[in-house]
Amino acid sequence: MSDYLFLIPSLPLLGALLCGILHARGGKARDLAGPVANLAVLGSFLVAVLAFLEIRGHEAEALVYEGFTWIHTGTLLLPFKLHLDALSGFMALIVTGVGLLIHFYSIGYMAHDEGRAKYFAYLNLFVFAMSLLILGANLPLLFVGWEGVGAMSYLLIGFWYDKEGGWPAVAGQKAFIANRVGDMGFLIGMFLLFTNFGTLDVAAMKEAPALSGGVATLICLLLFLGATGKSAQIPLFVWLPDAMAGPTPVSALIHAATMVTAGVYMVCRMSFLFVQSPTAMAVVAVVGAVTALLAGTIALAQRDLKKVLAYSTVSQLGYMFLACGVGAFSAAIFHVGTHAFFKALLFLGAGSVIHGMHEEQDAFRMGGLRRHMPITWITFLVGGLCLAGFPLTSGFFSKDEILWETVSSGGSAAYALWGLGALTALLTAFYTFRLVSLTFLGKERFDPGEVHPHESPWTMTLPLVILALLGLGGGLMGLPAVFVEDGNWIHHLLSPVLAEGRPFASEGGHGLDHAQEGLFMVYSSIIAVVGILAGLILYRNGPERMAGLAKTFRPVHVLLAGKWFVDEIYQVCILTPLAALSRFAGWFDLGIVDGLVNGLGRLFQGAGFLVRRVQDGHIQSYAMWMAGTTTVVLAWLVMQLW
Amino acid sequence: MDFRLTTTDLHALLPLVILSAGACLVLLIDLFLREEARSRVLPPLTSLILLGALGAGIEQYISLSPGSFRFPSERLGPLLTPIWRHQVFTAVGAILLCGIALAVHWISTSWLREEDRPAYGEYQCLLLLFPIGTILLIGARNLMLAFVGLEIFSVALYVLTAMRRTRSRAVEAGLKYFLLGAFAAAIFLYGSALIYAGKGTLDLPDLGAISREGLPAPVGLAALGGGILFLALFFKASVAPFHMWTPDVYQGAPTPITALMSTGTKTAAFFLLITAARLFPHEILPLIPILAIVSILVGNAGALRQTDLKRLLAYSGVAHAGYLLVAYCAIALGQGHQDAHTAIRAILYYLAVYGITNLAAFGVLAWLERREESVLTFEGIRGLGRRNPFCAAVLALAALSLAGIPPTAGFWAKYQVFAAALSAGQTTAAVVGILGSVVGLYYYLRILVALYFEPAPEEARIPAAGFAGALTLGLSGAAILLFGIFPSLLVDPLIHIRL
Repeated sequence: MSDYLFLIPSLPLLGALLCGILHARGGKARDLAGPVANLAVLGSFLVAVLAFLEIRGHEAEALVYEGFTWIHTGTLLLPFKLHLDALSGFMALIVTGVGLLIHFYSIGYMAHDEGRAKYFAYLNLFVFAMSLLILGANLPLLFVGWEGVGAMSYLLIGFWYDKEGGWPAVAGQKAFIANRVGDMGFLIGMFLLFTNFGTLDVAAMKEAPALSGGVATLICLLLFLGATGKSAQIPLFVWLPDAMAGPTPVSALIHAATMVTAGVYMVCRMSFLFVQSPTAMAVVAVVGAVTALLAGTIALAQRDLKKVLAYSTVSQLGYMFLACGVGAFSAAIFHVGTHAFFKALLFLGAGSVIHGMHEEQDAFRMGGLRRHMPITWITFLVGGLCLAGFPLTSGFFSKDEILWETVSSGGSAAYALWGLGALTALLTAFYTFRLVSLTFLGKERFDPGEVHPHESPWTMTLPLVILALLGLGGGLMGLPAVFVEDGNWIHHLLSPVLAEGRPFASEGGHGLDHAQEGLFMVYSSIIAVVGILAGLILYRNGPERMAGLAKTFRPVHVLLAGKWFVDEIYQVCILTPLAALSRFAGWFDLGIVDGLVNGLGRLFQGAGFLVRRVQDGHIQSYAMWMAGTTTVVLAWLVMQLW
Repeated sequence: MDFRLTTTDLHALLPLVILSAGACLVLLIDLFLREEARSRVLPPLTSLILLGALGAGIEQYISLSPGSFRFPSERLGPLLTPIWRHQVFTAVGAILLCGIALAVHWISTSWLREEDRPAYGEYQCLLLLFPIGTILLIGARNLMLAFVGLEIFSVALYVLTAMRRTRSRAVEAGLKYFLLGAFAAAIFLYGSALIYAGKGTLDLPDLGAISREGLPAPVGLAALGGGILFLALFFKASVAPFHMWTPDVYQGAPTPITALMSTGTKTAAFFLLITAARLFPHEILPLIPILAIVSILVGNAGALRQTDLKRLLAYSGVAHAGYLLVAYCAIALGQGHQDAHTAIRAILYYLAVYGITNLAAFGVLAWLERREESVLTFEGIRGLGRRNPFCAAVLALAALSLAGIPPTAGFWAKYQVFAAALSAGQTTAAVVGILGSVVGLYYYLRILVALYFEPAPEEARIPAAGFAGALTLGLSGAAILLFGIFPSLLVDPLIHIRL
């Protein structure tokens, strides 16, 4: 009995419909949208829990719901088929669970917004699309969800499209277009999968014989291009920081906890294919590690609260791809889970701060808020500790597992990747506590006469507390072998579903043992603590102390504050030539193509003129034409006949 | 000679009998009625006669279709056997032509009322003579009988064209049509005479002999006669360069009569072109694709610059004759039975759809027409979409169907014609035809632009249409859509035409 699976996506869809109707009714009816949306997601969450309990114990099997035949054309048969195994079950719990908390938080956050019913409709539609993405048993169905979350991301980034001179609308377009580039890769990858497997059903492809190395590499790289779009990796990461133009709960739900991890989920879902291509795995690992470091360096020099968190999200997603690339898929999903807790917590905390500071986002103009917002301060601190990887928090365990899996994947390349990861970890700890210091510690750098910071209502702080607890305890899902033998629950849960693969194994394999795992854990702890202390001490009294440093290393600071000028490089290298090409195509179309068509038209107009001249109205000339033609034809016929 | 008629003979001639008796009756009654009474009695009577003939045609179609229980006994008597075709082919022709005449009659009722001196009896009688002549032409198995039919409907048309004697343009059109028609008739007769001199017979071959291998090609004098006959038929079908009369006559004739000419004459001419196909010498057949291409180019080019809608439709009719010739290539030049069969069905389908569409278009024009004819220009239909949405919708549908845009019937008509030509290997003609219809889009869409995208002139009066006219427009508009969405409704009945 797994027919109830369809409830997971359809409850939020129903909720979205109702919210849409409430929005159309307007007035007081819009207040109902929040509770309705929350109930829909709550229902979805409960069903997900039920389904998850059902598959526990026999993780190798999956719940399947097969509905109507969606597309049947030629040899392509696509049923509307949902599929819940350990991987999609875990993801569904995260999406509906964290989604529920953020829906709840939104009631308070959006209480005074005119468009709150529309907002909840979008948010519910997002949960619908995301659960379709996770539960879809074939790639096209997954792609429908993939595009659906993209569309909702676009709508929610641009939710306040008329504020700040239309900047949110532009940011939404940027996100959408960057994602389209990735989608192109995903689509071509799907076409190739269909030509090679003859099916797009994930389970069927998994059973099929392995592809030859070159084809597998090509398909994996194309799919990974899709993942870099959705999950904001090099080269398509540029949209995510701008996506912060949307409401803060949206940043928490879509652009930190769930949607951006869809790329990681897709790579894990297709892990059976990725392990067939060591080349593709290496690309995934390197892109992940480099993105993590690059985003980490940019986060060092940002002043905007949400921008720092956005770059840290890019950086953490880099870690997840690093894990995928070294074959530690379950570690990637573990990090997806813990990251969802603590990053949602940090974003919601930031939202609470912004709410209390009357829409102020510049951390340089905050300070000393711990006195005004005690709950936000404590929970934000917990989130920061998790992100920084402070020992025994959830972020520590998941990040450490990734670093350990990286270094133990063998070979000198593994050490290099570990080095990148460890450096990023140091930067992460540093910029996180730079942010904590600037925001909550030190003196108040705003005018207390104008701004009256206040704690947020309970609807906003309750999700913070719950998420803080989850962030602290989430590590229990995946305790390393050093602590408890076989304590890695999530690894046991997911290993039947995910593929095994060590791309660098030929260079040495699992040469490292528990003792060394403990040693590396100590390294991680030291890195985290050093970073945290540095951030706390250097920014204890606000940003002035570091201003001198920024002046000394001015070029570096400019480079980092300018985000490595990636946007500008894209502008010059891609957008400008593209615009020139478009102008040329436009000129070609208007000048050559239309010119040809219009020329032909004019030719016919001229012919029409000629016909009118011949048609002079004189019956004599008509008769002449007829007689003339008849004579010519007959003369010709006579010549033919005799 | 045996002059006895059997019951089957009567059955075969039933539409003709009804029409002829009706025509006489109309003339007689006209004599005994006063002016006001005529307008009340004669139009319903004419409708009744045409409906009767139409019903007789349909009954013939049903009883001649395979599977009908009367099929085995349908053998004609000794008198009719050598001169008449009692076949589904003839029945289809009778249905088409009675339908056309009925529609023309209906769209002319409101137009007649606007006339100074409505000549009811003469008009109705001549209108009834038209289907008599054309059905004779289609059913004839003998060239002389066909010629008699040709002259009956031609003379009727000459008079109908010049009906409005006080109008110089109408008289001019009638005279032009008559003179050039007489010229064509002379060519026709001369050709027949040469055929008789060559072969000693004027029999038209069986439909079954239409495929290329069916009959030996004519030689010598018969071949020359066939060639001459061939050219004469192109005059009636207004194929370029024998089309010169078309724009002038279409413009000058009363609009319902233009509708009759453009649909009925073309239908009759193409039916005879099909049955006479084996009389034409092989040497002249390569001319058919060339004439098709010339017609398409001249028709479309001529229509491009027209501002008068009736002239525009005249040129469009020349282009449509060209499209029909494209399919005719498949009969004349195709490689056998199958090609010929497909092409005949495509032509009949095209003629039916073209008939319905043109009746719709001219029906709207007849509705709009008043004493001044300036109204039948692009200027006159500006903004009609707001002034009279019904008329505008029917005219728009007709324009789309003439242009061959789905979901109208015109799309399938064009599709079948070009498909038939392609399967018979007539690629060049088909390609030119398709390109020509692209050019045609320009002026057909101009009609739509004028209807819907231009502001209406101030105080433009639309005369009221009678019930019959509105019914005709509604039915033809609906048929354009119906046969466009369900083409098999019209394709399937044509399957019974057997070679």
